[in-house]
Amino acid sequence: MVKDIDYVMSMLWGVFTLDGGPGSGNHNHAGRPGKVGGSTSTKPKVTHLSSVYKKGLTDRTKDGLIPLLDRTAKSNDVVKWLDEKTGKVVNLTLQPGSKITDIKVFAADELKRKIDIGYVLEAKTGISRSEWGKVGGHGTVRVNGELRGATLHWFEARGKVYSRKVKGWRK
Amino acid sequence: MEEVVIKKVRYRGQSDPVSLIHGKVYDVIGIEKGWYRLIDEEGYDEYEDVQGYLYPPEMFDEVKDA
Repeated sequence: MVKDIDYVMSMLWGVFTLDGGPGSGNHNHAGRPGKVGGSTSTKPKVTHLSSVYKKGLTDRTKDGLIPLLDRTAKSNDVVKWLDEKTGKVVNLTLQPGSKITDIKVFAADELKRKIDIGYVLEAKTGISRSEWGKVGGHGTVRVNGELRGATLHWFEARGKVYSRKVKGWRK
Repeated sequence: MEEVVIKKVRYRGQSDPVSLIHGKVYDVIGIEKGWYRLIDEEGYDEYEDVQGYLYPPEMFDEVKDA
């Protein structure tokens, strides 16, 4: 039974840590031309979202969206949680191996579009409201055995994901 | 902007202050592929053309007399 957000975050940490791959050094987000490669470490480099935001201050895209890396969904990559009352698993997982694509930060402290409930996220997680971004992407969701394309929204800070939700189904 | 309320449902499950609160009644403003679209604790978003989020109906009880 999922009891608290720390547990949820610990489950999601490995899945959604921003990672460009060993030595890649290029995180596929807007800007920073000329900074590709260069790392000799075999340890995957982690880019915290806050650093993406800082870069976004001077190097954001025209529409104000900051793209992030596409990611691969894993088997434990759930969108919703257990139903605490019934103990029943809400059968909604991202299809393992599918890509979460077109990932963009569309609301953040540094962007025109702010996060209204940043204070709630801060109180719930201890992570400053200024570090949170609201992120969207496209993924494939498995619902009762059926695969559906979905637009997903979630909050993210320091590589951690909070409250991933289905914004809509894709055709 | 005022949304058309199709029905009212009561959420039963784990509370999340940015999503849904256990026992709270929400207005269903759409049903898409069997899922309920409702405006959750994030509230109305002036930047979005389509309001609310989709949730599986298994997470709710229908409120008959609201």
